[in-house]
Amino acid sequence: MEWTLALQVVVNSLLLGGVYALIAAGFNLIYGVMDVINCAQADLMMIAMYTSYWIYTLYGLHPLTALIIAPPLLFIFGVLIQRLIIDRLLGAPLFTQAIATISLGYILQNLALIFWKEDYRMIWTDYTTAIIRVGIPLSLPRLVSLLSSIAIIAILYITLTKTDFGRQIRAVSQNRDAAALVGINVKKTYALVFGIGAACAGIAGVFTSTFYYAYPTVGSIFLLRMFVVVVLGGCGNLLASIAGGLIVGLAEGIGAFIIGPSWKEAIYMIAFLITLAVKPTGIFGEKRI
Amino acid sequence: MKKEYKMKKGDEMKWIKKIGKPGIYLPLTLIALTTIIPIILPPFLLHVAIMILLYSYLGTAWNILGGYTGQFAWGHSAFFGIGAYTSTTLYIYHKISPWIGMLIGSLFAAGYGALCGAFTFRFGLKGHYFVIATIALSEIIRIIFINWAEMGRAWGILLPVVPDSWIDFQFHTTKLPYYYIALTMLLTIIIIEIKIINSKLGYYLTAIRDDEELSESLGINTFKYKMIAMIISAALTSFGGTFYAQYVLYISPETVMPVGLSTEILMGPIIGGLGTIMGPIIGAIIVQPIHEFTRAYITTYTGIAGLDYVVAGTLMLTVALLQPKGVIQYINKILYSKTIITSSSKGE
Amino acid sequence: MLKIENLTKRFGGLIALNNVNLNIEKGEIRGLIGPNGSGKTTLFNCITGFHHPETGRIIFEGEDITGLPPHKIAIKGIARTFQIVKAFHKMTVYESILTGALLRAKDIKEAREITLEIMEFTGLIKRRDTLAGNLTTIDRKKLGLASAIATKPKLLLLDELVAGLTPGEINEIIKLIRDIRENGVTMIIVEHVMKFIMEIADKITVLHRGEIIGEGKPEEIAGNPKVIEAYLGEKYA
Repeated sequence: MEWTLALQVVVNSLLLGGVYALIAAGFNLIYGVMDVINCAQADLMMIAMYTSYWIYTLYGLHPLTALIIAPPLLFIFGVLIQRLIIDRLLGAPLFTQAIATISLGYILQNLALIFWKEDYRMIWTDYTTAIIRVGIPLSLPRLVSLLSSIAIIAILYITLTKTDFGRQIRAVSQNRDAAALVGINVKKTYALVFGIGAACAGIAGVFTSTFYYAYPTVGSIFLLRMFVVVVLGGCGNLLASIAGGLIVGLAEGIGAFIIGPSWKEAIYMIAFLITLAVKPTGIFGEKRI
Repeated sequence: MKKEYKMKKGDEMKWIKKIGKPGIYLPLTLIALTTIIPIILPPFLLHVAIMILLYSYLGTAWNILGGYTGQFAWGHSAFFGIGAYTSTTLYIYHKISPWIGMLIGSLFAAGYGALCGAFTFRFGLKGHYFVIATIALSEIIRIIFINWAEMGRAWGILLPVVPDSWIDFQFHTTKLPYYYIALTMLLTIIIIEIKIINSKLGYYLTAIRDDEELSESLGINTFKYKMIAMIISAALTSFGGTFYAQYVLYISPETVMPVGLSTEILMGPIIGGLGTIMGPIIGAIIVQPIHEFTRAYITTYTGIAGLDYVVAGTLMLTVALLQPKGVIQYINKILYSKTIITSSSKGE
Repeated sequence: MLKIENLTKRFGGLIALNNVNLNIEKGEIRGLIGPNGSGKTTLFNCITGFHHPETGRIIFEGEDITGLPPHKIAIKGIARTFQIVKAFHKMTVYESILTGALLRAKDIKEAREITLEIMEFTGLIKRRDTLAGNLTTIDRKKLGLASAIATKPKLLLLDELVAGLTPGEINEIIKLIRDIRENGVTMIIVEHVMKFIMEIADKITVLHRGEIIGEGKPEEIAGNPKVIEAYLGEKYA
């Protein structure tokens, strides 16, 4: 096997992992702070993908302009979801939460189906088809996605650990009642955290739209991968999302190359089951934010 | 010491609480179901009725593992699909009657169920880890079938259309036989369910659902019993798969094995009421007509696909928010003067 | 009947049980006391298979049961209650006890009879159809006890049974325990409430920081300076 070819496969596979990491980071944030499993995370991403698509198709703007629109929109949407739905379910058994977020995802998917039909939507511009050469050809949008995802996760992490706001979030996450006693508005914090998590999905969606096609149920593909990333890295572990995302991207890319694209799903699925068996808490362990 | 309480056989019959006072209602319903309803229904409504029966059946099969044992599996489409594919391929390639194929399919489904159970229960996967694992396990099956040449890959298999025949399990002049078959399946599984509830198995499964550690301390081998529940649930689900294959006469990984199907199967019990007999039935009665009607009328006339799932999704959300124990709680309130949960009366 | 040899249990760096040796005679009621965190519940967990010890052996009626899964140990004849009272929340009192009785009964009919007996024996018959989740504290504790004895154990481990009960309720439990002993059941009782344990136990073992620091008749233990030191600050009930 040619070395440059191998390298190309490896690197392109890693690039895949960028957005996986970002969606997972949003999920981990929500789970780590609120113990809520947001099964609609990938569907929120789907909404962002469409936003980006329509911004380009209707207004001719560069798809990345959607970064100004989609994440804030999804942030607000996330806050609303938390206030209206999640808040009522905070004490409920696990599956009630899961059902609620899954139902929400279902609703989003099918609203998308109703309004935008089931056609695959792909954005073809100079940007989305661009290739840069750093020894080996790399897809530009994917590279940008990966680097941006890592950057955003890093920013999130720094915010959580170094800023007052971050400390507030961590206080609420570790001991809700104690935080309330110290004067922190717990409900508001929860709403904000969910909003941020949704915004992460939003950013991921915009980036994904630059190299993948949008359709109503595209979320289901990413949802499964997201869960694998989360379990691999460690539930609630923000930084581990990066590692998890890269690993899943790698497994998928290399798997597709060696065994064939239609089997690649099975590859990371099996890796996932093995992780569950051997170290269910993930490579880097579960974490409370 | 004076023995104040006589233990009647009826003390175990707590299922009567769940079904409602049998008395006059049960025989009446049964008569209506077997004679009046199927005759008067026009073809489309008959189809809806068949779907209600099928999903009541599937929901009940799932309930054995999900509601009674508390193991929230999200991968039952794999068992459904295994049943469908086994009977279909045996029929097409080896001319074996789908009825026999049904039984053989249940063996394979039970086998895969055992595998899933062995994996998830051995490693003590619980809560959301269990759910995700079952999804992954069912997806792996789907991917295998998408890549399997003899199984038609992603295009699936079209069953040959033959004239009405019981051996070939196909009927075209009228869908009535399908109705009766589905009804029989549902009644049979309910009887099985009742037998399980009133047996040692039933008590042990419910105990496991409520507290696994406590169960272990009382001598219950939780691994063994969870496996039993999984295997029974898997095998029973696969019968539904064969039925579906013979009803629709086309199967593919996308139609008989997707995660969405698993979701649809458990929607009934969740909306209707987990761990009860009527729950999955009520759930199916609510969900299936919505599904079928919106699909037939709204989708055909306005071309808007997906509306039915929006409605179903909203329903599930509402139920989750308002009454996590399921619609059956409302029905219980109507049927009895006091609700079951807070009642401390003796007997039924 | 029960022999524990050189039992050590670690949780990461923390040594919960350090070379514990214990000998329980058939028909005994052994009290197990010690300050919080001394390892009493850990010892119970090791005996009943919920924890696996690092070293040492647990021998029950001549058989090595170390490391067996909890359900097997229950089958061998050791039953227990839990410090944080566990119950089958969605089952009634009758159903909960029946679940325990099903271990030894050859069919549901026999289990029913055993359950009836036990409900009368414990006085829970009045609450026959109440959901376990709706019981009062003492009834819930009685239920835990009832389910455990429904498995017809030879050895019964009771973990802080009377914590939080009124003196009247404690006397009720004392009578129950004595009745259970009449039926030939050996018991190890972990307790903080001194009045209770002094009255009921034949012999008391004192655990402190995972080690046994004293063993003997209740009167001897009460005067033991090491025991008093370990309990410095503890009130007597």
